[in-house]
Amino acid sequence: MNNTILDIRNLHKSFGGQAVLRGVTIGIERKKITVILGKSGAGKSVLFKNIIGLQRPEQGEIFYEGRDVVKMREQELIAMRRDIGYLFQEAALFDSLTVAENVAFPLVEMLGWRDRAKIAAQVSEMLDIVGLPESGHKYPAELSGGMRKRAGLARALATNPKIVLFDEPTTGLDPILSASIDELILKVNRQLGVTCLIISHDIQAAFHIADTVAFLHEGRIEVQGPPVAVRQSEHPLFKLFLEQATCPDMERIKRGENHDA
Amino acid sequence: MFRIVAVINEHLATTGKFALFLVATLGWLFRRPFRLRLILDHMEKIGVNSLLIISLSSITVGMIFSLQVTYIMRIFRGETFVGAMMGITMGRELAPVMTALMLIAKNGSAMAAELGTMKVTEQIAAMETMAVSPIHYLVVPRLIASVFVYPALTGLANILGVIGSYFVAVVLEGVDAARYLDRLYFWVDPKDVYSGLIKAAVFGVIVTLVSCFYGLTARQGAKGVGISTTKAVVTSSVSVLVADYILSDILITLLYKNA
Repeated sequence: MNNTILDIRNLHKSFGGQAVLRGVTIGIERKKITVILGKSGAGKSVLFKNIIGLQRPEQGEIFYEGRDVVKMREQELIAMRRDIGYLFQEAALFDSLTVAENVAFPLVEMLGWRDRAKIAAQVSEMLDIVGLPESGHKYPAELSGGMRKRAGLARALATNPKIVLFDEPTTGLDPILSASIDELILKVNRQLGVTCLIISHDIQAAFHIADTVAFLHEGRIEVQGPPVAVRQSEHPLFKLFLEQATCPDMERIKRGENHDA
Repeated sequence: MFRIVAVINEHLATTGKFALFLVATLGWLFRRPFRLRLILDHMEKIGVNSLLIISLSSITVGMIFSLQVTYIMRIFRGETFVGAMMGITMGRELAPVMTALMLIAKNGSAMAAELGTMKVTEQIAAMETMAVSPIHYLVVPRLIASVFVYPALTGLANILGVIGSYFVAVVLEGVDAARYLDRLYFWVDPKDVYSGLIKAAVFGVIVTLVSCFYGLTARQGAKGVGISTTKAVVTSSVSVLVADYILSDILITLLYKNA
């Protein structure tokens, strides 16, 4: 079996003449955690929407298990989406449904399950995995930010996907909750053998959990490799990104120093 | 000048998007699964939960109509025709239009706001990633429910409007009850009632499609949802009135002129 589950080649996407992706090329290894780092507006979310077929690129190829997503027909896209879970930045839980109904949603609507006992068992198992065994009856509005992300992950995992896409999984969470989400991603990857593709600007988390780290800048992957190698990269844009992320006010401080001088 | 061109372009673009939305909805309308439970849920939300507001408004309209018309008709000694006038007017025009306008205020706005909120909080995108069409899951059940519920509530409005009218004309204004009812039975034709019910079903389709369209095209957070909801209410209301004229013309030609 090919070790690359998702192979993206020379992907281009623009909106209203403005290029967002300008030749993204990256291979995602099976059963590994890949983190794509990048500033806001670097094209990370657009990349995900292209992967799952919600948007079509102008140029390039996306091979999922050897089949080109770009050329897939509707039925093939539906079949592919059954293999892919998606955790949205704000979890995107359906607020008119309870947590349990949210987790059951893809089972009923995507897989066509009708056996209530089987659905309840799967929902219960997923909520156990993400650490929300008692929250099935609650509505999303009753959950904290971290709990919503966990519930969103339970929904993304419900269909036993081969790959889960995480859109900024720790954004807006405090460091303790962020760490717990990182641990959860590791658990999902190691215990369930799910390939995890994460887009984030959380450098600490990236180097902590990733098997592969990539740096997306202005629509291109500028650096990629194992965390240790990437951390020592001499790529000037990536070094600047690391510096700014470590000290976000660097530019302002520098300006202040100049001003004082 | 450029601003006028930009506004025209924007409206043309919206019309084009609505046409595509309409085609997509028709494409999904007869595809499985049919989601009977969702259809029944929406029938309850749109229908059962609107019983009070439709009852109150139709009784009130019937009473006001009767009060005004009895006064005018009495000048010509024709006050016993109030029942007939009420039955025909309510059946053909007042009940379907009033019911549609009340349901726009209560349900059309709620549909646009709910779907708009789902859009801006990525719930719609989440649905798409799970290979579920938002049109199939969100629009089609509402549309089917509306086609049944709008005529049902219009039928109720017909009955309650006439009851309100009877109360004012007979009990308060002293019109002879037997003559009131006799004129009502003689002049009101079943065609008057079912032409109104046909209109109601069409209004249900218009309101649901317009409200869902604006909901699903909402952008830019809470402000965008507010703008979409306003557009949904205004466009639905105007569309219902324009459609009412066109339908009246068609139905009069089909049911009365050729009869």
